[in-house]
Amino acid sequence: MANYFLGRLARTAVTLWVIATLVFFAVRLTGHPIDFLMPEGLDAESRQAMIVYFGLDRPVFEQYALFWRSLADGEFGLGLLERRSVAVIFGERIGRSLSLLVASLVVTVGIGVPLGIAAALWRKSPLGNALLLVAFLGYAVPNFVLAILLLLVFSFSLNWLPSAGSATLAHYIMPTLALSAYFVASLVRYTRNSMLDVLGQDYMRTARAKGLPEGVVIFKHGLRNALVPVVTVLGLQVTTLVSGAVVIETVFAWHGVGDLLVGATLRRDYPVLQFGVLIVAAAVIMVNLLVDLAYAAIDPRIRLSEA
Amino acid sequence: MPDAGVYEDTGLTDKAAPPPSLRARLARLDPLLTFCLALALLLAAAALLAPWIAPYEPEAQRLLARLRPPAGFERAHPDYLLGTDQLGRDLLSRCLYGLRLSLLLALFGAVAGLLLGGALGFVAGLAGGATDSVLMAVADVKLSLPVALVALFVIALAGSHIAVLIVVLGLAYWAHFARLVRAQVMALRELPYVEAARAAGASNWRIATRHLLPNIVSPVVVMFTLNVSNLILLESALSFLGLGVQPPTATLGSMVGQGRDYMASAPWIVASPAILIVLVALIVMLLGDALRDHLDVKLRER
Repeated sequence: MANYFLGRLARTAVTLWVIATLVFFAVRLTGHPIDFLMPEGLDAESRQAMIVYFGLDRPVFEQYALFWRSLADGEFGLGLLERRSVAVIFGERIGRSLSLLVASLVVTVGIGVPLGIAAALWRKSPLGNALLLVAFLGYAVPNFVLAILLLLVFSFSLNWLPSAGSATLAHYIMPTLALSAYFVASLVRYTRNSMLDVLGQDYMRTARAKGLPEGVVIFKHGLRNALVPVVTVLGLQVTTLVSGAVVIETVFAWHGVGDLLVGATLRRDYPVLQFGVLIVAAAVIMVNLLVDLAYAAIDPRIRLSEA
Repeated sequence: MPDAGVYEDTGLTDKAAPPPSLRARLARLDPLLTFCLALALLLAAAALLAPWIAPYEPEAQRLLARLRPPAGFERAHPDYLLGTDQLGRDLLSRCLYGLRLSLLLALFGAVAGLLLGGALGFVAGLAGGATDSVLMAVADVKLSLPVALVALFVIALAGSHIAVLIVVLGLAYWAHFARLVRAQVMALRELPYVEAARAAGASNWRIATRHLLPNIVSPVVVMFTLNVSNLILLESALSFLGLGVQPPTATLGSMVGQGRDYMASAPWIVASPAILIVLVALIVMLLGDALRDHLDVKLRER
């Protein structure tokens, strides 16, 4: 057990180190870092001064050490657009992004699992087929198209919901729906398939044969076993969810980390982007680590096979 | 012209299955799939022939006929079947050219991902040992990063050039190909016929090209097809955000992105490209699924 945890932690640490190193070298391979750090149109003299100031005239390995020291100090430089500390800019926005992600996860699980169970139980009826069709559509409709559709109907035609911002609960409805649709769809499919696998198992027949009520058979013997692979898939999809949030936050002017990164890319605000890539990557990897550890704690087969 | 290939490939890869006559095979297809196949060929033809069938140049403006709705609506202009945008550009022509570019990018991106991931996976699976560990560790790093994050980073460094975009799309899912090909190679290389070839003195190169490659084609083709539909969505999302193909060139995503500002007054500008994106992604996905069932390939779902 301890071995598995330590091994997993070490792998995570290596992954984070690789990503940070890639970020460091990517800038130096594609151009002079000062051009990414400074606004355009800098005269040659101040450019040179800045190069010396940031230590960019020193040998690469020394720069690399400086890079790590700045990460350790929480000293990530100034955003080019806002002229404020990058850490402060992110601090203001990260809460909004997290709340959107959590809301979407709750909606995904709250809708996806029950619908998946329904699709499995009524697989031969029109309801089951309709659910599958909807799930398939949810797969193919990209989140930004869905977002636009929702905006068109609920903001511009009916005037029920606000089209931008994140101030009130009403602001959460459309972004959460648009972001979670894909994941609801995939969860319906996974839950359905997993449930169908379980429904055919011998222990289900045994449970029925010994006279348990159908509800207990389905939910206690069936669902509990069916949910194990579903939880794994959900953990893996956190990465995809973050990708989706980048788009959705932009559409709804959410002022979270996602639209910050898009803006930073469009305007070449490299200090913000560099920090954003590092922090989002770290966050996603930590979530994956937690899911893995939790999963290993629940299911002994995992740690035995990986140890 | 390679851009129609995405659909024709999906239709033709049946060659990996036992080969009854084409007619017998078509008869076994269910109606939905037949419909999809027909629609796919139609869309592929439309994309391929865009320069010849589009009624106007996609970037030609006619400011006197701005923001006209599609035919059948009030104020519709008889010259423009799908209406015009804020600059008086013909939406039908832009959709056709946009479809063409979107498909082309997705296809090239998928090929790039396949070549990169396939080569690395093949080497990892064949070499094993330390090579395998290192390559798969790199693939794991890639898989743990959100696709959008990598895309933003590469675009910020290298700019939104079409070539950069193909690299971005190729980088998006190469690790999936790498893992698939590695797993296939590892499963195959222990099989008796490979051992027999090795015992008979065949070189590594010969074993790789004659015995391994032909046998991993079908799962790779299936993943490639599903990958194309993912990349259509990714490219359109990037272009939608203004990070992909730059204006005035039309792709389906950028048409939706730029039409967004006129959504309240002229919803048709976003409607046709949005519908096209959904339609194309849905069809490619359905075909990929059908292909998977047909070839009975077990793929771990994304």
